[in-house]
Amino acid sequence: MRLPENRISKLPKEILCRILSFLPTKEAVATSILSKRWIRLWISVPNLNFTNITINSIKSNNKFNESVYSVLASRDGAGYNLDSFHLDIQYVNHHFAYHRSFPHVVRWINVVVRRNLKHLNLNHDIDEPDTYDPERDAYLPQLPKSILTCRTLVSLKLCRFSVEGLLHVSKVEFGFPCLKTLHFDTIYFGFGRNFVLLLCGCPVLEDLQLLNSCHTLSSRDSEAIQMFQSLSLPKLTRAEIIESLWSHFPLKALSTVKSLSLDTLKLNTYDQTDDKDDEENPKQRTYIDIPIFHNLIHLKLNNSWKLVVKMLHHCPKLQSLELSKGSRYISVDDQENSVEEPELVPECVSSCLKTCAIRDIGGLESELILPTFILKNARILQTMKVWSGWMQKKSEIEEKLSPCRKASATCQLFVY
Amino acid sequence: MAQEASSSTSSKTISLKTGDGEIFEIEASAAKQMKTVQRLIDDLGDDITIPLHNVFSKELPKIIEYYKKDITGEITKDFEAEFVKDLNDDEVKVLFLAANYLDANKLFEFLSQNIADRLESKSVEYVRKYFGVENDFTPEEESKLREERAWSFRGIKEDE
Repeated sequence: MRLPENRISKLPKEILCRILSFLPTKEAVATSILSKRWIRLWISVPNLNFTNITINSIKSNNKFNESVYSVLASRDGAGYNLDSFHLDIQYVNHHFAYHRSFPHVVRWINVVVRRNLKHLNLNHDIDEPDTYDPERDAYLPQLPKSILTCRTLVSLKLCRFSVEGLLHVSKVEFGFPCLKTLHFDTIYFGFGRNFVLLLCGCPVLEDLQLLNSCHTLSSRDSEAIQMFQSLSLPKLTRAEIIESLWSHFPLKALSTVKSLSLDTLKLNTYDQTDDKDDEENPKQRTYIDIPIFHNLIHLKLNNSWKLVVKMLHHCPKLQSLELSKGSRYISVDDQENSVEEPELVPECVSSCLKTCAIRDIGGLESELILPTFILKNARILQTMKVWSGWMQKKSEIEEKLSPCRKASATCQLFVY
Repeated sequence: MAQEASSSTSSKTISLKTGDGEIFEIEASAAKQMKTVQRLIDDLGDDITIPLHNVFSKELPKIIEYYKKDITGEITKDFEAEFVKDLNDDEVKVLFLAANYLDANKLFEFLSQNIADRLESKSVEYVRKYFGVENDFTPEEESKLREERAWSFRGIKEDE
């Protein structure tokens, strides 16, 4: 007769640690009470995970600090390497965050990056105050510089930091030679050159995500501009660049991706900070050279639809297309000449496109040109999903789109 | 049933015999994902029935189901959620031990995560029973340890 209970307890330490590694650190530490064998078992777990932490009082702040220091001290004594460090803290206000907690967070990071860390994930948020507080919104904590010395990193996910000042590291040593995943959310670079140097130092990057982040690259920094324009990320398979301000982002660097999510404004060469000038002089806008995306299967575009067809001509293998309007710059595009039905059908539309989703369709005739065009020309399209904008009645859109001739007999149209 | 002359393993099936004597078939490509099975195939050949002494007829079908989905690349979060939905804690444990024995890495990782999820916030006594651990602390030792690590015990359910 077999007794699974006994078998599991006889498993070697490594196996038990594997289970513990999926627990939040607090729970893993609690296993020290199971029996004498387990007192120090949790210390071998190579992950430290402090997530779903809420700090809303001095007491909770002190207790949390005590727990992290205690964990780090126990592990430090044992001298073990650390695979991953994940911090996700919700602060009730910025005072707790930046004055009472962050000085300690920086110390913890300084410790963990010296342990051959592979995965670093730092996220924090501050509860919205009832009134707008310019000090809070303008303030992002400084990114601990020690992170940049951690050359074993395979994935780096950061949220809400600012990288100020010139970083005094030589160009040769900069960057992360093993980094495969880079996710920046609300990261501000005071000097654009630092961002460029960082990105150029990640040659094996596979997954790039830039949300709500920005830098300004001085037009006089020709060296950095040159580096940026010749950026090459040959292993990149996924890129998402949303709501971010970058001057002249080199699309060529994204050309190997299978999945791309982009604000279409990145396709313009004009400096987004100068858009006031361009409203008066629309002719000055020129479009950046779009590379051919040979591997692209899934494309999501936000903002201007004018460039959608142009983009489609550069994605020969595209199977899935998603379009939405961002929150900004809509009025600028509406002032342009109405979108005309494209003359040339992009190759992917006629032979590869299987699903299409278009959001925020409003009342203008010009907005229905694109879905109609796709329905008429996409020969293997299976689903077309359309969402009416908030001012628009779903039935009106449905009336206009349902009778449209469909190139694919099996295509199903859904209007929401 | 005619076998194709090509050396591709996609149409080949391997016979596995459980500890309680039942025989199951799996695709050769699925067998590759279970390193223990693959080692036995390498040593004994792929045309004989591979004996698995520590895996039984209750759990092997579930494991085969998982790897059937895996070789078609269809394993999604939804599939994994559905896979463990109706399993109780002990059934997951048995599957986990089998995955460990078979050296089936993907299933092992997934079940480790699932066990961790199930044990999160469970009481100390429950976890002891689950892992078959005997409490060898004296009451004094235990309460001293609890005090030292007080912050980690907050929020953990007490036994009913």
